[in-house]
Amino acid sequence: MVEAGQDGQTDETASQEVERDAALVERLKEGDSKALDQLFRRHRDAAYGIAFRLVGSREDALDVVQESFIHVMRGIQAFRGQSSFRTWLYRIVTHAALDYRRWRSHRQAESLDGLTALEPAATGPIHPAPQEEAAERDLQKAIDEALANISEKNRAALVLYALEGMSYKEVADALGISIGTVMSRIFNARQRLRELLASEIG
Amino acid sequence: MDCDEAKQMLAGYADGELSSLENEGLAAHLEQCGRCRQIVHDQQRIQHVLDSYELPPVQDSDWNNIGKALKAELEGKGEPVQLKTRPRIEGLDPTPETQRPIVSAEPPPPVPIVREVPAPAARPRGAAAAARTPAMTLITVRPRKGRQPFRWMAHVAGAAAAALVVAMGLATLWTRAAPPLAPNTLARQDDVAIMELETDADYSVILYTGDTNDVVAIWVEPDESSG
Repeated sequence: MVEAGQDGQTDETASQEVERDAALVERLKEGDSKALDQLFRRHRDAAYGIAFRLVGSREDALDVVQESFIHVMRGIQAFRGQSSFRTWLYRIVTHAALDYRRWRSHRQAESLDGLTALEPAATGPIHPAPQEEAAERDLQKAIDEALANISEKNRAALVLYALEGMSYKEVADALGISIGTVMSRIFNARQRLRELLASEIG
Repeated sequence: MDCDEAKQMLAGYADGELSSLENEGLAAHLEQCGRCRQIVHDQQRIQHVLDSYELPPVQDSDWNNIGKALKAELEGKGEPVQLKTRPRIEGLDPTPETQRPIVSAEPPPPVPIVREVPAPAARPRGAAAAARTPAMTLITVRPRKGRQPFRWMAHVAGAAAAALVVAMGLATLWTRAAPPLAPNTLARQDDVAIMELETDADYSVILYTGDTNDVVAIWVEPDESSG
């Protein structure tokens, strides 16, 4: 049995990963909390990556990850395995993140009475900056801000492909769109990023 | 291939996601088009920047807290987590529409019975109808609108009623001597004269009977909302 490491990284091949997930899903359907824990450990980093790039805040991203796995638990009985668990989870995370942004936007609009701009969507993460070179930190921040300024649809496609390593087909499955649309959205997202990051990358 | 066609595939080309056939076609265009080549270069360059993107780290304690919360949720301990997001699984799974999972801890609500035919609106009957047209006593049979399953029954009932009245009038004429009919009277029974009989294009019958000051009508008309 291949066990996932703490960071979810293993030496499994793609097919082994799918099979391993499928076995864990079956155990989770029977209420096995250890299976849930393993699925969580295997996919939490990727889920966090998607969520962070869509909500722009570490704390919000963690909230999205937690809610996404709750959606998984509540919906696992209906999961038939016609897509991989990974693709299914990424769909859930993507839409949960987009939902969360709307919830956050609505909440801030109410509490701040419109006096303050929407933080997560308009700015980068509020977490302490990683201990890296200043230039790299600035680029990270610039990317965060640029990502926050492209459309939700284009960003979701770009995040899944460019930052999570999914294929166009997987992105299409995850977002429920055609491969042609995936290509178009990724193209538009990167063109927009090129404009927004022009001063940073020359 | 022109630039507009090529543009649809430049991202796929930059990412190596095109088929060999598509690649060949686009490569031929790129050999001739410096502008599209530049776009491919830009796409790859941005991708390279994104490849260097690093996420802010998450502390183990954060993961542990979430793990505990998930376990508690699974085991039904404590209050269920109030979610800020919806389980929008429908429409996401590429399974057929009828097989899409429904994410809910609760049983699905009963499927409502779709009523193709809305309940008919209350129609004025009896006194209400009389009040609407004080000079007449109306017996109103209104067939339902459109493709309602029992529309034919209203037609049959209307036709039968009309036939009955006509038959009564004719029987009267046949069995006993009747006073001469007024010029516009079709038949007469006792004090009731059949004044008019109309059939419209919607297979409805409009039949008026009665004397000049005491009109009785059997009125079969199409639904007011039809047409």
